Amino acid sequence: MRTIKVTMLGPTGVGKTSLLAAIYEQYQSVINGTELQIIPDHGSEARLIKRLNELKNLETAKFETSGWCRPSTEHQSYSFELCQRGARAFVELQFQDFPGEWINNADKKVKVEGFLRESDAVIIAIDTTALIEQKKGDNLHQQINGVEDLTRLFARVYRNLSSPKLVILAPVRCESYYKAEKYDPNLLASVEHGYASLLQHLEAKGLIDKVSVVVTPVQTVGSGVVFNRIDYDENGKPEFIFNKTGAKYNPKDSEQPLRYILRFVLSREVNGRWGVFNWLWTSLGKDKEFKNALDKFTSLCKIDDGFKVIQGHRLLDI
Amino acid sequence: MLFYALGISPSIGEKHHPMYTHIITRTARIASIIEKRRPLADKIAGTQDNLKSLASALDKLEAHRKRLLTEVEPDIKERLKTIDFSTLQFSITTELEVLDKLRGRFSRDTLNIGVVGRMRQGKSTLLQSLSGLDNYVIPAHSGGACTAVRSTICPRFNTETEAKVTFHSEDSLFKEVILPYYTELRLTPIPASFSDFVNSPLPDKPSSATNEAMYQRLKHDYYSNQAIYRDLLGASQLTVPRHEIQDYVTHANGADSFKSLAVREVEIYCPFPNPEVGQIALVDIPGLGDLKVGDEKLMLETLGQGVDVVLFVRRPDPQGDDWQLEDTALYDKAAEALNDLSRRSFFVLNQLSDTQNESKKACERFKQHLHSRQLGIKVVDCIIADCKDPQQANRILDRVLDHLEKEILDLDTKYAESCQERLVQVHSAIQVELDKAHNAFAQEIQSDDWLPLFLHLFNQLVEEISVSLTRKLGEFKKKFEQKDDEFEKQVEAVIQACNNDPGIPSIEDIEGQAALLDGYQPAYFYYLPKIRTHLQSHFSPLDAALKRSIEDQKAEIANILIEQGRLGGLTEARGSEFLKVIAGILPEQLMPEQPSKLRAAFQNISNFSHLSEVAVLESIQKELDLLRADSSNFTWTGENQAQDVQNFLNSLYKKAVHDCENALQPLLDAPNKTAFAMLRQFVDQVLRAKGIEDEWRVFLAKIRMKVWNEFAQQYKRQQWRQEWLEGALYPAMSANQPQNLQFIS
Repeated sequence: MRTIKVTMLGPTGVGKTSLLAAIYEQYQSVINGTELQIIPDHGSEARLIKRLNELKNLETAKFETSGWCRPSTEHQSYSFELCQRGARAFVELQFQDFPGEWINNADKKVKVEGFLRESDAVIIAIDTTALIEQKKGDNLHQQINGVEDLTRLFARVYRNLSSPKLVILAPVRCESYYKAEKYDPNLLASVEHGYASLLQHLEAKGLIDKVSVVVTPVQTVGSGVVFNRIDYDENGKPEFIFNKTGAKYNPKDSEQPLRYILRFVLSREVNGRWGVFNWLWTSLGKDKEFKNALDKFTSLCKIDDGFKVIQGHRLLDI
Repeated sequence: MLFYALGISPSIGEKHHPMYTHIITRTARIASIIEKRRPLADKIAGTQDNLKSLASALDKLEAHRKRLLTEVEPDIKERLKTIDFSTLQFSITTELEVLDKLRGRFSRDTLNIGVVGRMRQGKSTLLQSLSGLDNYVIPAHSGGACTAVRSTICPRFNTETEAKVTFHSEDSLFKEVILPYYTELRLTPIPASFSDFVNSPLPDKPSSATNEAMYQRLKHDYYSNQAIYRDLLGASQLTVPRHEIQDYVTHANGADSFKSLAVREVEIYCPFPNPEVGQIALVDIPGLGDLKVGDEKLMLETLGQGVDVVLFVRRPDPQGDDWQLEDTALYDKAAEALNDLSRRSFFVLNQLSDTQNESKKACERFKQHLHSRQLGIKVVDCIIADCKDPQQANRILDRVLDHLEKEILDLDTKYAESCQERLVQVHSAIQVELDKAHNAFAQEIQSDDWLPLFLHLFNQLVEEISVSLTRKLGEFKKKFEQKDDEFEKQVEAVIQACNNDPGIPSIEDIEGQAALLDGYQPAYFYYLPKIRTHLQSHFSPLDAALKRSIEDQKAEIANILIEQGRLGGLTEARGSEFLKVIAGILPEQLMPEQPSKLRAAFQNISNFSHLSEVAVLESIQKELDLLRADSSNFTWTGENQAQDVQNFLNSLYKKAVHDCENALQPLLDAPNKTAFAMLRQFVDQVLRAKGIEDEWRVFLAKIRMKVWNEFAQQYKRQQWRQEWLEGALYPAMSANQPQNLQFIS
């Protein structure tokens, strides 16, 4: 069984764990009705359920809140097995969730870099509030999302790539920018603008054919919260204040990163350009029903209305 | 009357007697002389007024001259120093006094005969003989009290004898009578007023003063009897019958007589024994040597104004008497006051009737001595007569009146002419000084002399304005996109105020309102616009702050124009007001048929209020819109709806404040942006517009004297000159017209 490694990057407290929890939740409510099954290992499942409960308990939280989960401080690894219903797993998805500040820590940076190098895909969780909202006309995006650090990280790691990579820019907590079943167009524009330096690096000559970049906005809790304002706490640290709208826990689009990852993997196998994972094709060929399920899952990748494949379309072709 | 009884007076039946005819003629001619004098008196009064105006014009000119001496440049100062009005002013004062005398004399109703004589020489006797008055009215007995007041005796027929009594005021008595005693006797302290005099103890007589009698007179008369006479001071003129006259003219007979101390003058009207004396008056002039202070002054004054001819009365003592020094001194004094005394005076030698003819001999001796002219006393005639004898006395009068009638017009004319002549001299002397005054300032600089200097200075000035404005524009440009610290603080303060005073209703209020409106949702919608308005009100100080900052920037620009542009002298206004005033000063056209661009530029910057995109309230409209009913999408919990309302309002309010704060951030550079835009427009308009330099040139040429010291000095000179000529010299010159000072041709 092959392992597909995914690195989770993003600032502390942005909701990387919540994103994974949402993926798990969506799997349960959306995916598991098909031939495709995604099964977390025991440890992962326990942690994700705990987080899910926290998110669902928002209803008891105050009207006004600056956050609803305590940020993880330790490196977490989550593992999922993808399998055909009732069959053995054919691929393992391994998520490495690093605390946001690690990429600035001299010792831990090496670890992050190493894993990123090995990873097939990376999910960059974006604090959308910091990206879009302003305090006194300034926005806190650079400070919170640390784009420059990220760009430097990629500049060091993405060199002489031997295999294609998928970079997912996932703005989380997009609830406030989703109105009437649509994302505010400004959201996508802000991502592209806010990550321009990184995107610029990734479209360099040696990378443009090897790296696919997509934007997938995620609502980790759904319409239950709405952004109100930014305050500074007594230490001068910005606090994003949200109001509870009264709606229930209802994450949206949180499965999209997973769809893209599988599509990316599938495309690689289908087109066989890399010749490493022929085993997958072989096994898929044996079961048409499963292949259809997989096809269906990946074909539901959203590509507009706030979603976008920025580069490497070919790497996502099936 | 006695006179008639003596048969001297011509009777009715003798009308055609030659002497009578002569007398009639004389009376008529005296009347005619008096009549002729009147117009002259009027003319003199006019001349006096003119002379006073001239004096005051010269006073002003002199004051102006003194002021200028401290201000003007050395060349003008030197010329001003040569002007001397002081001696002229003195001459004018002197001539005014002379004219006063002359006018007094010419405006009288009578020809006056002054009778002068020291005590016991027969002066009063002569007056009694001429007037028919007795000792009660004119005391003449030896050892009796002397005449205390100046009295005039006029003939008036067919009425009872009476007198008009004029009293001193406290002030005139104090100044004319009391003070001279203090001065003469050297008494101290000198009182400040009459009441001070009577209420203070009389100082002891200092040992240095020798005149004991004079001191006693002050003490026993004026000081001790003040209670008797004080009430009369300031009383109006009183007419008294014959038998009371003595109370007012002498003070020898009992307490009542001290009334005379208050009297200034007495005019007695009585039928003269000679009914044909005509319009004359006899003036009793106190002689020198009496124990009264102030007599001399009174005598001189009386002689100067009140007398046309003088009779000196002298009774030679048969016992080895001769002319005394006092006689000469008296004559000399009189000559000071009365012009042409030699042609206006007679000596009457009072010959007593005695059996041995001793007196007659003495008189002859005196007369001879007088005629020898060694005495220096020159008179028309020296008449020996017994003053007690009315017939002889009237012969003296006839002689005097004949003389007067023949000579007085000539004497008047001569006197007036001499005065007129001096006035002409004064006029010429003044004209000389006025001419100097006229030349004190050099002629104005010719009108085109200034141009080369102006162009030189103009080019420098334009260069300086240009450099400074451009530099300032550079400064403003550098700051163009920078936040304005002051304004940022204001914004922060406003946001702070928004946060501190949100105006969100309490739960109780919400509950009350919900009860009133029958529901929480209506209550919520009731409060939304209120909170919106409340929030909006917090922002109003910012527009004012923007305005203020524009004012400050205008002041910076104004400062350049004031300092480098040297325009500060045009107005005292400063700051933005300066620009406004200059816009007002600038003419509508500087170049022919072209509206002034310079004026428009100053009007534009003066009216500049703000850039359209930097109005605060407009900038936050979208943010305030959050607080509208249709923009909220909260879900009601249904559990605690009042809390819901408060939460929603609070949430919307805080978000609106947050968004407003963000919306205002682009405005933080507004003051700097505005400043730059404003100055750029101004610089373009005042430095770069087509033909603008010509406008500057024309404008600055007009106002050059207020701009450059080089011209300011010239301007000052012009101002000085103009003020000197128009304010002071021309009035003096027009006052000094020869015809103004002419009263006889």
